[in-house]
Amino acid sequence: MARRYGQRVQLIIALKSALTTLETEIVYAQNGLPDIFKRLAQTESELLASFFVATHQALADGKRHLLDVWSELFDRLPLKRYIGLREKEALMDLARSLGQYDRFSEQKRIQLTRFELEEAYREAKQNHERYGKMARTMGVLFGLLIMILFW
Amino acid sequence: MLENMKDALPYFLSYLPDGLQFALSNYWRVNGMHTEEIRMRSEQPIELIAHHVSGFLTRSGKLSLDTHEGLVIRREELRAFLAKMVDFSLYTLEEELRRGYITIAGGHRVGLAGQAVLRNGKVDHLKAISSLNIRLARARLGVGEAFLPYIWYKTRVAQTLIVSPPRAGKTTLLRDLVRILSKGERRFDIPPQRISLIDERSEIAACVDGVPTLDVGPRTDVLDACPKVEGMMMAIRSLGPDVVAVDELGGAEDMEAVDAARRSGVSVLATIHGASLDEVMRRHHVSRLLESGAFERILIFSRRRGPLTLEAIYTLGKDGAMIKAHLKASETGLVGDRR
Repeated sequence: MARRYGQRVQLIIALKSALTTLETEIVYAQNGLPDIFKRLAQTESELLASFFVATHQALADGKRHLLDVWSELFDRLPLKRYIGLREKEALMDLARSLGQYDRFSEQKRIQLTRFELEEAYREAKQNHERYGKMARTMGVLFGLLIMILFW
Repeated sequence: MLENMKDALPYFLSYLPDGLQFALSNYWRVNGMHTEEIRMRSEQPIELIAHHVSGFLTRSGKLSLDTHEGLVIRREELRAFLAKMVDFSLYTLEEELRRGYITIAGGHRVGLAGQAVLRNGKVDHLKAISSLNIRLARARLGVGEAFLPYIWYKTRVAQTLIVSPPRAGKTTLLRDLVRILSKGERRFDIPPQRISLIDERSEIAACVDGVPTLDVGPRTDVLDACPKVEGMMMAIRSLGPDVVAVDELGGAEDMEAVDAARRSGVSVLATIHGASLDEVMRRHHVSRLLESGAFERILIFSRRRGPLTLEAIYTLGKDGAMIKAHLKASETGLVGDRR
């Protein structure tokens, strides 16, 4: 349980970093979205790498909507275990419009998503500090209880 | 006449939602070959335009003039369709968004309408795209054969200008002439020609990653997505062509480039929008070029009896005036009245 709170924080940090790369690739390099996902898959942490590989593959396989692709991927383990509602909704909003506008409109949308991820990060960190410690303590106490019961 | 699309639904229409795709497939089975344009407008029924008929696509795949029977494409559906057509990368097409059209694989030109974003009082690009006008490109192999005697002059391709209004087939004709000349045609004693094709809008050769997807012949070098003026100069300098082919001449710079090309000994095969020679001559920079004797042949086409209806042929007289010729492809002499 405590690990889950910590992983959510790590995931949001990784997502923010991926969004910065995405913004740079769109605004300055003007690379195509499938190529960007392929590149992100090579540079991001294991958890996000598999997410971007799957996104790239789905688009190559002819999926019509990025929203459908991400919606399906967010419901898959292990991402499903760690992603929070707030960051999930922010990314789904982005998926609704990504690749459909000119680069400055795309930039604005990515920045908005990053801002929402920032809020999600604060919330996740707070939860991690508040409940993570509690969950760890509960874990220890539960372990002691088991030991006492079997002693 | 061979067609490259047969009855198959163009691949990109599979990006549409299932309901629309089903109706279009039904329509395509019967009328696909004759369809020239597909027009999609946000929250409006899809309009299909064929050679002699147009109407709104119904659920059963027929055409109707009643808007209430037409299948409506939603705003989100249209945007998702466009995004998929451009591989989710509309932002990479800034120049195209400024010009108001994109060309997708297969050479199909997609005209765009939406909200214009201005910079310094000029249109910088379009955003919030709300209408698509898809003009279907078709390679009609062999359509150029009938016109070869008009453009072949002794031992070379004559400086030729093809004139027609939009949708009359001039790009299709240019593509086929390039293909035939590139291969050579024994029946008319035309040896293979080295051709440089300046395909600014990527709709003649329909290049994907620089490689033509439509047949433009084995001796054709394609300068894909290259501006006409620079393309013509680059081709002459580095590719050593016998013929430079270029579509839709427009501004004064294009005319100067054509003039420079013909003066360097290269034959120019070009097209321009217009309904008649008089109309074309009304454009100052075009008339100046024509009066200088830049073109030896001018072929005027219309849609009067379908695409590529030949209306008139003009040939350059000894005194530099254009002479309207009355000749058939099989005829060898030119008999004409001076204009």
